[in-house]
Amino acid sequence: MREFTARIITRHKFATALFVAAVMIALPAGETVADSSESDSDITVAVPILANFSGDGQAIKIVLPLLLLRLENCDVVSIRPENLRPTLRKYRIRSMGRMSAEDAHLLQQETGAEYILLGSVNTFETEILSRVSLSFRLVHISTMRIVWAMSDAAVGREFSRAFGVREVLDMEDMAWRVIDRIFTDFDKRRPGLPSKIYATPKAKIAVVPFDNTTGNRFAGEVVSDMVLSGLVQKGFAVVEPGNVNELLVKNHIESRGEIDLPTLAKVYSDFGVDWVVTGSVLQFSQARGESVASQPEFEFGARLIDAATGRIVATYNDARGGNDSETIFGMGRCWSLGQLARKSLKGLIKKVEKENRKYVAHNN
Amino acid sequence: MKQYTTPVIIGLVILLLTGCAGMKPTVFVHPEYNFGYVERVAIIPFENLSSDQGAAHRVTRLFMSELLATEAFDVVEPGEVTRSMNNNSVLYPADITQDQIIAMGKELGVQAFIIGTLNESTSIRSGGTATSVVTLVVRMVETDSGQTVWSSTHTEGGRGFWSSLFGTGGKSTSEVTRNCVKRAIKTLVD
Repeated sequence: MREFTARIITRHKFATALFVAAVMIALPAGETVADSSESDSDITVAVPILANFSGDGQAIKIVLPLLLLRLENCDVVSIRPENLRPTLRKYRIRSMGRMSAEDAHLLQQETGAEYILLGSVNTFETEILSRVSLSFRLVHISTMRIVWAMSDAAVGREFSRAFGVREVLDMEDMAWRVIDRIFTDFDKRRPGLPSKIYATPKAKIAVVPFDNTTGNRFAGEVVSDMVLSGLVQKGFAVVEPGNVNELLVKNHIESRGEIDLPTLAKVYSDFGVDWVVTGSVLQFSQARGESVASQPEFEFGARLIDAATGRIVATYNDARGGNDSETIFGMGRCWSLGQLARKSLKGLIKKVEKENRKYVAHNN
Repeated sequence: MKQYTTPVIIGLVILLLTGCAGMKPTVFVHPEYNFGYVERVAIIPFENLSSDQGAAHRVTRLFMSELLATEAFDVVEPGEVTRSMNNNSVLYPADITQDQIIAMGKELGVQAFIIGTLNESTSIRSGGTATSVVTLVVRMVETDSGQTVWSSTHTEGGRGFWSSLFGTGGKSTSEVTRNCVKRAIKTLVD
């Protein structure tokens, strides 16, 4: 393990340095501005235990050390899960990939963390094909603002060359590759670096957990997190799901995939959101073999609801299978359910952006 | 002899095509009702008579999205429908009474309700291939009198002409369901 990680660190440090240099040269003037409110120094990040939606008990044991290792390369002072445990126990805080503002502030008081890194292992499978899917988001505790979020997935086969040579089968290696891809994006967007200024102001959105009608127990949570990541990546201000969850629990509402007007009014008044996004996951299944008949399948439906009026302003449905993009002899076929879902959800994000432009134009 | 060849071929092709086509939907449209009056509708969760657990829920959601996509009506947020059903003690959508329809209509500010039943959602195995079949019965009930103004029964199969002819793989259940919903809506919106 040590040899493996040392090798990776050396390789990735060099790659990161090269990348940073390339970005600094290639960055066009005027597209970004320095965010004067935050300095370019190390940030303190609390890293609670990740939520495990994969169903594999070993997933966290493999992913968490790799995550902490990668964070060391990101100028981040991380407070490890074992150091957070006494505080979490003391205040009976349960963080399964979500955290309310109240709990996060308690954590900040006790540990001095400025940010909290929440995340989940969505897929971790070794059966036939090695597959990993992860989601992470960084929350600024004082403001409870999600400052960065990213979901990514990979399948061992996508790293292979002709005739399956160099296909990644080792799960540790797979997990590292996905973590590294995610945190390469973090290196570009982390707090303290110049932040992108969007031409169109972005709406504030709350994501109400998606309803799940599939056989996969956690499909609703996984897709909700992916939607959140997509929205944050496009510059939307998204309310931390822990806060939304806390509001629903406090009001004894078991809202999944739908929201009534009194709850919507509470979400609107408490968080000041413009829209609420929710929906249903209708199909979420992995390919069970290598045959053409067995393909990952994903289907979902989502709605964009005006928080002030309760009117559904937009709706988006998509269904796709891994074979849809296949051209010939299996080329272009998507083996990973996580990647398939991400591609599918891109359509929803585009739709939200389109509605945002209309919304801004209308309000101006 | 030659003069009969072309009509015979055309006749055979028509026979082949119609023989493999799906069933036509059964549609009722109230002849006197003015659909222009309906601006906002609510969808009551569909009843499930199929063996596929959760299928009716999927179809309800799909129906709502497809109906919204037509931009013909405003659709009430499902959470609001659930709340109104609880307020009016509607436990089973199939048992909804006329009084409850009128009361819920006023509460939600809708001119009509969509009520449906998923009769069948199965995968039938025939030889080496599996075929999905979906049957949906859906109706629109106006909220002033509780009268049905539109009704459609539609069955959609997963095997088209070419798959029947050559035995190739048919459509997936989700594709069949979506087609079934789209065709049912088409009889209302077109």
